[in-house]
Amino acid sequence: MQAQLAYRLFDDADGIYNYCPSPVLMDETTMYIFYCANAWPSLVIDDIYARRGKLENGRWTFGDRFRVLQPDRLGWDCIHVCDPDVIKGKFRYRGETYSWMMVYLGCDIHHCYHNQVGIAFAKEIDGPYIKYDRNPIVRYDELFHWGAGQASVVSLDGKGKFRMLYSQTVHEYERRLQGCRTFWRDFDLSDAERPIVGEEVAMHVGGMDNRDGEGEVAAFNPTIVWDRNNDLYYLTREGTPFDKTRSPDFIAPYTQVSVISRSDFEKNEGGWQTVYNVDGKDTGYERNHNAGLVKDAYGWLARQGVLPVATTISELTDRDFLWTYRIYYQELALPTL
Amino acid sequence: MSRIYVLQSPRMAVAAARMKADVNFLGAVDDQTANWLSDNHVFLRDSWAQGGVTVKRLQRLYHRLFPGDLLIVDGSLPDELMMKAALYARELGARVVIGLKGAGISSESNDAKDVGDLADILVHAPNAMWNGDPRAIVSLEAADNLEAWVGAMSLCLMNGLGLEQSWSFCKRAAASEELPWYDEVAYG
Repeated sequence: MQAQLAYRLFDDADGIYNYCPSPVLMDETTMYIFYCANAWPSLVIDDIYARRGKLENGRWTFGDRFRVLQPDRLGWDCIHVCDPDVIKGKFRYRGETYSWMMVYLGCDIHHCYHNQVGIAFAKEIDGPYIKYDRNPIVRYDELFHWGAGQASVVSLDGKGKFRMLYSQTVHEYERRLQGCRTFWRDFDLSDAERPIVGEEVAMHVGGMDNRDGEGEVAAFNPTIVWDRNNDLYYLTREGTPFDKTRSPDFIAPYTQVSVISRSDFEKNEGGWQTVYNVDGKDTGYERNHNAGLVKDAYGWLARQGVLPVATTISELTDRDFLWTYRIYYQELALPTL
Repeated sequence: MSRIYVLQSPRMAVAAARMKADVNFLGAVDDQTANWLSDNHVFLRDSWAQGGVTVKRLQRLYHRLFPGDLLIVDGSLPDELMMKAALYARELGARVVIGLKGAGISSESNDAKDVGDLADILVHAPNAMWNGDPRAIVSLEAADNLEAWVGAMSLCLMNGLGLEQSWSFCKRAAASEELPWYDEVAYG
């Protein structure tokens, strides 16, 4: 596997964090990147921002950020909105046709509780985004669990049908266990007034292995891209297990890229192969997490043989690590399978 | 990130909740006020529709507060209740923020309040009077909305900001006559 060294896509002011990128390639030299950041320095309230980038002399350079979604004053997403993903399609809603759809995580409590997944529509990629009145589209009832979120979507038909992967808490009360795992389901919002929501599937992780070959494999915080020519799904997940001996201890040391045929994915009996582990050798940092696969407008692989990845890095510090969250970019040369 | 408890000041609680702070309320309120609090995303932890806050009812704080939490108290409460609440907070490792209006505005009397020694942070209107020695003092100007300032400061403190770092955010919030919302302050 060949991988170029990662580089930082853009910087930001002190007290502002950048993470959870959703990069959308519009053409060979234009990219929008949606991501999570705070508005007021050092105050942790997540909004969703975007930047428009141009490819110049082989490197992406981005313009100023602009806010595309913010928490409501009240309601299910009144504290944070984050973890965006954006695809193109054709969605009829309230008598209008929208060409872009964003999925996002919203929550109404601090301390990483009660996350749920919402949807917003726009006519242009840079907005304005209108929140769907049937949100949250993926609900989670337990108030003091992490919940459901970190959704990633891929268009199934270039119109209103899409597949959504997302993290969701699983718990076993007798052993007091809680953890996140990946689930998925299909939607048809061609007519968003009459949404068709498929049955939820717990994603099988068979074939995945950890970077060091040790510990339980857990797949969560998925992002997906569909290589339609080869009918393959590429997936990123948080690299497990986390290093609990250093601060911060709750974010991944590496991001793992895996691949599976679409048919094996849909059979849901495993068949994953590890493609690459994005870690310190790529970015220079020991925490590499909350990644986003770069994809075309529909969530499909944009260029055969090349898989660009945007990864969030953070520095290891006893405190204030959050303010070091920045987004790095690299291109992986895909193997012939 | 710490949690916020507000004792007996619905307006301070709502001001903090509108700033997206994590606000838990204890106090004696009628149904209409309780609904107003809930509608503004304040979590009613212990509330009493009958009677007022008493020393005995304040014992609820004893199992609520944890180290690093913030207890926000309306300076118009009787000294005895403020003292009891502050002692619990100190014992449990929480910090006490007292919002004190000027005499004759919300206080029950024009006497100086014996709150100074209880407060980790005293936020006060220009003509407020108190006895004792607060650990930190935030002196507002006449035009500043005290409840809005305390509400904005709640979000800042729960994010670990110091008073100096918090000042510009709080000042902007306090410019509003009504209790402002986070978006009006952060994006304004």
